[in-house]
Amino acid sequence: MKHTYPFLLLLLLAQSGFSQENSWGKFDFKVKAGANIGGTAPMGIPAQVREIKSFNPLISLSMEAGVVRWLDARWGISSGIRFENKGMTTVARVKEYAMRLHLDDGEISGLFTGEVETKVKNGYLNIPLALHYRLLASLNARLGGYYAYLLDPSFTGVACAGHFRQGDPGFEHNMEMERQPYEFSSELSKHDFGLLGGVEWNAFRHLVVSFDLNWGLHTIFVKGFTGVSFPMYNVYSNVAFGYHF
Amino acid sequence: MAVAAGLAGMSACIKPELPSSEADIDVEKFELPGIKCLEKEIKEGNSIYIKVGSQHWLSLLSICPQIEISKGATITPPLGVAVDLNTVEYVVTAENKKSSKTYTFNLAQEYSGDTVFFPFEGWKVSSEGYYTLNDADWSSGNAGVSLGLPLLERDKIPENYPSQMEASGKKGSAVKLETKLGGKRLPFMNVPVWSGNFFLGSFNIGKALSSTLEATEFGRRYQRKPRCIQGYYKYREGSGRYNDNGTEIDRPDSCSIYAVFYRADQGSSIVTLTAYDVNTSPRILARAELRDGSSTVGDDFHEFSIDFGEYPVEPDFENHTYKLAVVFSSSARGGTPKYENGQPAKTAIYAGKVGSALVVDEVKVINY
Repeated sequence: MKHTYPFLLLLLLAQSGFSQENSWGKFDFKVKAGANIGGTAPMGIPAQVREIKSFNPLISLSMEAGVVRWLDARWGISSGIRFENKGMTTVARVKEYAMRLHLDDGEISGLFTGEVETKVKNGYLNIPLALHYRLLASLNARLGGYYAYLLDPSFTGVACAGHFRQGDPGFEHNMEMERQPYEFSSELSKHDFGLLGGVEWNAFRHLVVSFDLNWGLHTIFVKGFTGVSFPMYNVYSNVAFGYHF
Repeated sequence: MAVAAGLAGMSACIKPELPSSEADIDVEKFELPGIKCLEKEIKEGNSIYIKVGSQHWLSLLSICPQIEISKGATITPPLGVAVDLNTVEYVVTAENKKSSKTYTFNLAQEYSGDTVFFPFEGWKVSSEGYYTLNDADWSSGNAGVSLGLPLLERDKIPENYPSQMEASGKKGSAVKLETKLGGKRLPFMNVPVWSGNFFLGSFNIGKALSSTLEATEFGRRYQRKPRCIQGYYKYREGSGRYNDNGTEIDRPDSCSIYAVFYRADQGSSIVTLTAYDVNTSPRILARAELRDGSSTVGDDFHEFSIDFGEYPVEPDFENHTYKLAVVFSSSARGGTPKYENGQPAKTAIYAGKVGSALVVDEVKVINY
């Protein structure tokens, strides 16, 4: 189980801390609540996408418990556990966009020209691991990576106001498509990992404010997925406020 | 603010448009100089069906049609060169130069004479593996079924389609319609059983996904007043239970054989009735139908004759366009709308017994 290793690390960090009687300055514990704003998107927009007509980040909340183990006055290592949603809706105008419409127990492949409405709302258990550097007494920067396990998948869409070409080359049928919903929720990868970087500011004695960018390096779809013809990645920023113990 | 910036950022990343892979002829805009196309449509993906008045028949041997093709596509032989529509093959190459489509013509003359005879001879197998009658006035729902067969992991071979050719008809070949098991939850269309259908009209594959009942366009231009329809048929209902739109119940299946004569012009445009409104449209002048659609006795063909009865108003052929639909179906309720307060709803009912088989041959329309 790949995703258990960061857990173990967190436990080790915590345990070693308590065994050292939580010596002053060595550990920072905090709980944070925040929001993710970003997109689940291809890296570089494919040529089949002709226009992005709208983009709305959904309200995606995050709850996090984290710890920093300070190694010396400037350097530290952090980890934690975060429950979060990553979500957005987009409306794009596409031309000859290869897609597989999948519903219930059947599916149909073809080229769609028209508008595609996409709604992503995925719930993840995220375990970050980062190296901290204290820039100022109350401000530190961090750089690292994360692993996220998909708990609650939702990737739905509607192909509308267009036509769908299906069939063997030379004999294709051109079919009107007024509003055809589709869903790829069951074809999302359980695992996501990526890079993270950000800053954390101890604004007051117990108030901490953080900003991070989480850049997914793993496509959100399962291996061999053909529903859309390109991989898509989670790229989300996280703004959080928290209590610093 | 950030979102607007993000959107602007993304829009800046839009790549140059790729050349199109579409190689279509727009049949709506297809015209013949000096000749009115009484009917025109694309059949089986790349066959252009044209009906003209018989006086224009010889002009089709050398003519320059006006054709509109997909944006950026090219066509050979080039437009402006006179062609014989009986034999020409137009090759349309898409803007991307990679995909192309070859179009041929299927030409028909307007009906004339006191009797119009359909012997159901001359069939071929389409690229999708189902039989089509060379007389392109007739169509079936097989093109729609071809979308569903791969989902059910069935091959696209003639026997797997509900509408087939029967080699031993009353005389020569005949039409054979057999109700097939569909898919309980096929995408786009919940079709528990596929009833075999065969009708004077066209199947509009373009509607197959968006509004299935409207894909079967019943009726061809018919500027005569029909009195009755005669022919030969045999029918045997399937042996299992009746699938009532997904629920198995005990009741007999029946075939349907009916004809509808209706006024088709609406201002300057022409309308066609579909499975959605063929029973309820106020355009209908007269209707003829087989009263008893139950299994026929023995293995022999039985003669049928169905009458249009009294016309409430006389057709006015000088000022109006009329259409005649003749419809055969192996399960009478296999693809009808659900009726609410006598009005059709968009939801379709697909009911019948798997294996119910109707064979029809030697059909005549007798005019007044």
